Amino acid sequence: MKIIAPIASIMELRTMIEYGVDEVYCGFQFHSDHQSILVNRRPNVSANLKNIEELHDAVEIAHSKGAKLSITINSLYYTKNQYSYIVKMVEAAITAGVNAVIVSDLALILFLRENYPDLRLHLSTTSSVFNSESIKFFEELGLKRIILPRHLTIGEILKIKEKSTIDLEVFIFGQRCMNDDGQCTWEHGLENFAGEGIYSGTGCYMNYKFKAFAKNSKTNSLKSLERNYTMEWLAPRYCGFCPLFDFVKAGIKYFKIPGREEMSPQHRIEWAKAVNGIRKILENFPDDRDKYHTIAKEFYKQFFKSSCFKTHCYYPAWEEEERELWNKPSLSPR
Amino acid sequence: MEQAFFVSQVELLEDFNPSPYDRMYFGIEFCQHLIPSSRELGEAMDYAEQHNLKFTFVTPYVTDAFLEKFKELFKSIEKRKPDAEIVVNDWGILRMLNSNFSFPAYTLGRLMNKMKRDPRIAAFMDKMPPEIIANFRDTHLSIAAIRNFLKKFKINRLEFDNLLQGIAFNVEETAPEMHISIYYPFGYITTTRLCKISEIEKDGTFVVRCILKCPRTCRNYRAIFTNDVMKVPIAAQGNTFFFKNEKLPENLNDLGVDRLIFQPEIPMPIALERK
Repeated sequence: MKIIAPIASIMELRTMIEYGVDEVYCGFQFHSDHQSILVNRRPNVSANLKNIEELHDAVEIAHSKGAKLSITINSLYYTKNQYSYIVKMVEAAITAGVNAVIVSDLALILFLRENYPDLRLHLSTTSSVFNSESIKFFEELGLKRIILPRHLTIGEILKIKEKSTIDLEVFIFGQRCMNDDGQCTWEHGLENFAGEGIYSGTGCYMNYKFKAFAKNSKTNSLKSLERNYTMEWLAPRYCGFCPLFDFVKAGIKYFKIPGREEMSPQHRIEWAKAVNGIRKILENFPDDRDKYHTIAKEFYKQFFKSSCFKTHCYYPAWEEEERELWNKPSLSPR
Repeated sequence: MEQAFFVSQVELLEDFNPSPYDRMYFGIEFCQHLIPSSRELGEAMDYAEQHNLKFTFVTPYVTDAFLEKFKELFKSIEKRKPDAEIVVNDWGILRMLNSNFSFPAYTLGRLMNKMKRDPRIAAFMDKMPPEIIANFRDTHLSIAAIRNFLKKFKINRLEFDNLLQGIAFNVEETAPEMHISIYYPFGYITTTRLCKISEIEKDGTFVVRCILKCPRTCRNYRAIFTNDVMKVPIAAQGNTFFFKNEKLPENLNDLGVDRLIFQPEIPMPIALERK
C-alpha cells in the first residue's frame, strides 16, 4: 500500500515524508503570467510550488528519502495557444527529474505520448473513468496509472479492479468534491484574472437564494413551493478506512489524499499521519476484516477525538451491494 | 443548417410541433438511473418514423453495470435503425461501440467537450485580459491530433453548448473536417452522482448526499438558484445545474456549425401520468 499526498511547499514535503507518505504530487508556477494560471486545475498560488527552482529542490529531497514526485498538468482541456507554454513547462519538469505527470486532456495525452514517449503519465481523476471499458481505452493510450473518480461505490471500484490490470489509485481520506471532477465546468481560478468583486473560489461554494418548484401531477406544470431552503455543502473529512481492507485485498496499491487547494497544510499533514496510522493497523490484521474494522474505527475515534459516522464515508455502498460484497467467498463476512 | 430537437421523454411531445425539425434527439446525458427502457426507446423511434425525423440516441457516462444495459439498447437500435446516430459522453461507451457494433459514425457529446460553462466568465469579461477571454472561448477539439484520433473511433461530429461567453476557435489546417452541433437554450454547468435534489422532500433542507438508491426525486422538483455575482439564474434538476442562453452565436458559419439542437425543456425526465 502506497500513500500519495499533495504538497504546496518544501516544508510540507519534508513533513509528509516523515509521516510515511510514499509519493507526493504538486503543481508549480512556471511563470507568474495568466497562461500559467490556466495550466493548473488548482491555480491559486497557495496550492502550488512557487517556481521551477523549488520544484528542483522538492524532487531532490523526495528522491533522497526514497519518495516519488508527480506534477499535475490536469486541466480538463488546453487550447493551441497554451502549448508553447506547456512544452517549456514539461521539459523543465523532466529536467528536474519528476517521476510522472498527472494529466486529463486527451489532446495533451496524445501530444505527450508522441513527443515524450518515455514520460510516465498518470490519468487524473478529472478524466471521469467510471467503467472498465474506459480503463482499457486509456491503458491502450499508454497511461501507466489511473486515478478513479471519487463518486464510485466500493463495489464499483472492486468490479473495475477485477477487470483491469493497470495500476489504480483511489482516494482514501479528506475532501470530496460534490460535483464529478471531470464533468464540472466551474472555473476554479477566476479571481486571478477577474479581480475584486468576483467570488474567490468555485461556483459550488457560493451562497445562493433559491426557489424550489414541485410538479403538479394533474397539470404536469411546476408549482412554486413556498418554503425556504438551505444548502448543506461539503464536509471536510470523508473517510475510506473501512473499504481500505477490501481495496488492498483486491490488489489496489495506491491511495490518495486530495486537497491541494482545500484546507490548510496542517490539515493535509494530519490526514497523511492518520492514513499512515491506518496502514500500520492493516499490516497487523491483513486477513481479519472484522478485527481490522473494529480497530480502525477505534483508531479514528482516538485520532480525531470523535466517532466516525456513515454520512462521511468516502465510498458509500448500497446495502445490497454490501451484502453481495461481504458474502463473497474470498472475503470474510462483516 | 440541420434543425434538431432533444427530449428525454416522448410524452413531452404531445403538444409539440415537430414539422420545422429534421432530426429527433432522444436519451439522457447526465444520469444512468434515468436511461430509457427498451419500450420507451421503441416509442421514441416510432415517433421519429411517424414524423419522418432522423433519429439520434443520446447516452450518459456509465458504470460497468450500465454498460451491459446499453449493449442491449444498442442491439435494438442496430436491428431497427442501423443508420441511427449515437451521441457518446463516455470513453468506455465509445470503445464498446467500436468493438461490438457497426453503426456508421458516432458523435462526441457535450460532456466530452470540456469548455468552461461557469456563468461568472461572461459576467466578468470586461475585467479579463483578452488572451484569457480567448481561452475561455476556445476548445481542444480544434487540435489536429485529437481530431485524427477521434476519426479512428468513427467520431464525425462534435457537440457544443451555447456558451454565455461565446465560442471562437480556428481549426488547425491539418485537422480533418468534423460536423459541429450546438445545443440551445440550455447548457449544463456541472453534474454529479451525489444528487442535490434527492432529499428535498424530507425536512425542507436541500441536502447533498449520495443517491445510491435513486428515489427519482428529480422527476418532481426543479430549483432555481440566483446569486448577484452570477448575473444569470441557474436551474437545478436532479443531479445537474444548467444555464439558459437563447441567443445563438453570430459566428455559426465561421465555427462550421451545421446542426442546431433545440431543447424545449431541460433535458431531464419529469414524472408524467402515463395514458
